[in-house]
Amino acid sequence: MDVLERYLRAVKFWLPKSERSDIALELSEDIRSEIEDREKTLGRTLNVEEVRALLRERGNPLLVAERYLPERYVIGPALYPLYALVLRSVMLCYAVPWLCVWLVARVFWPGSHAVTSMGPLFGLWELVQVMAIQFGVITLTFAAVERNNAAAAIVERIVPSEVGTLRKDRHRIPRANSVLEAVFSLAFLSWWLGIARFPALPDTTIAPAPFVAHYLYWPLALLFAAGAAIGIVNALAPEWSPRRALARFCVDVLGIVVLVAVLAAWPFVQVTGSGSEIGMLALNWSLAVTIAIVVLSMAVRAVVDLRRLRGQAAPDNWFVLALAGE
Amino acid sequence: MANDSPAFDNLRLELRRGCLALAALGELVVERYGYTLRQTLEEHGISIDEGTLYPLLRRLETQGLLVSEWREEDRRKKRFYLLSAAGRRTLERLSAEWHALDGSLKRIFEGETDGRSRALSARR
Repeated sequence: MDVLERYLRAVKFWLPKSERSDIALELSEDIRSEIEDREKTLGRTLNVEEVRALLRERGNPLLVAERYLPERYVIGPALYPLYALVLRSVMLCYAVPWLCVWLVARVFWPGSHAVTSMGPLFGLWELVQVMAIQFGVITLTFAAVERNNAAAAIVERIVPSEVGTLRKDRHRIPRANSVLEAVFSLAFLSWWLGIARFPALPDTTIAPAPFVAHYLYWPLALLFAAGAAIGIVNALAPEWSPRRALARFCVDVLGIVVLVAVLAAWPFVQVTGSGSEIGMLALNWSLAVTIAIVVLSMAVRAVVDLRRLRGQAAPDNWFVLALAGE
Repeated sequence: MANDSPAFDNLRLELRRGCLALAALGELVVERYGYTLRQTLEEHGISIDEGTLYPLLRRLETQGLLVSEWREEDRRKKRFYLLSAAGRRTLERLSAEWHALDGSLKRIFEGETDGRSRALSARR
């Protein structure tokens, strides 16, 4: 019965210590009873191969042991939707923009490196590593919450009113978004045209790079003036119409062209004064990330606007709507 | 029709899961050990593998529906299971539930058969 002993030992290995002997003894008794039954039917003792065949029928020791264990999750069903949402959001807000920046950097400045919060990006492998770290940190955090049985309490505490209001009308333009768009566009426009001055570091000047100032001055001014106008009109009359969709589609197409041209004109801004080298690099990279996100958002918005022009509602997908800033 | 099989298997598994617990409780009105319980269930047309039965028995015991005792029989130690008082009460209630469900399903299926025959005769 050497084979049987080995099988039982293998099952025991996967069982919790407190129940190990008890379960193994009962399993052993069950297998011995079955062997006895077969021996009675055959009228002889089973040979080693026949015992092996019987144990094979019972299955892999790991799977046999697993059936005795309580169901365990790294992240349980109560917490999983929230976990998936956080992962998706991180992908959207972190990984996708950095991927865009990395792609742009590869195309326009093959020798340069983007510096993420996790370290510099020299190649695609580093980007994958950064994403793996993000994934690992999020998963470990959720696993820790799950392990402390806090999942159910957290999920129960979230009531529908806190989750957000239901999107009732897809033709309605959220007023807050329009106001934000108008304010941001006007602020940039007033700085760009020299109407307003923003506080800067002492002994430091920040100016657009010559290419941007020379070739993209008026396109950028036009882009933000149009953005401000659309924001104001949408805030006053928050309903989508074909004409409004066409106007925003045109602004988005203009925006994509102008901002990609800005991206191609690296560095976009020049910093002079103390610590200018590091400051210029940091400022240009942060601008590159911002511009990449805006370009991506504009591209998605252009597609959504095209749908509106064809009389279709915006897609009922949170990912697309979040990218379009709606 | 090719994808019918996994769906059928899953639904069958779900259907059987609850029935197995009821069948095991029903058989353990008389004291038995695992292997004989498995055989008795099989004789009644309910086949259950040991990997399902023993964890089920443990769960039922943890819930207080069964009591167990290790005893020696035929020079071997065996674990005998029997319904506890709470187990008997639960079995009665579950049996009633089962009969009610069975009656409802019969009515649903018979109604469906009648409806189908009516539809067929109307077509003719």
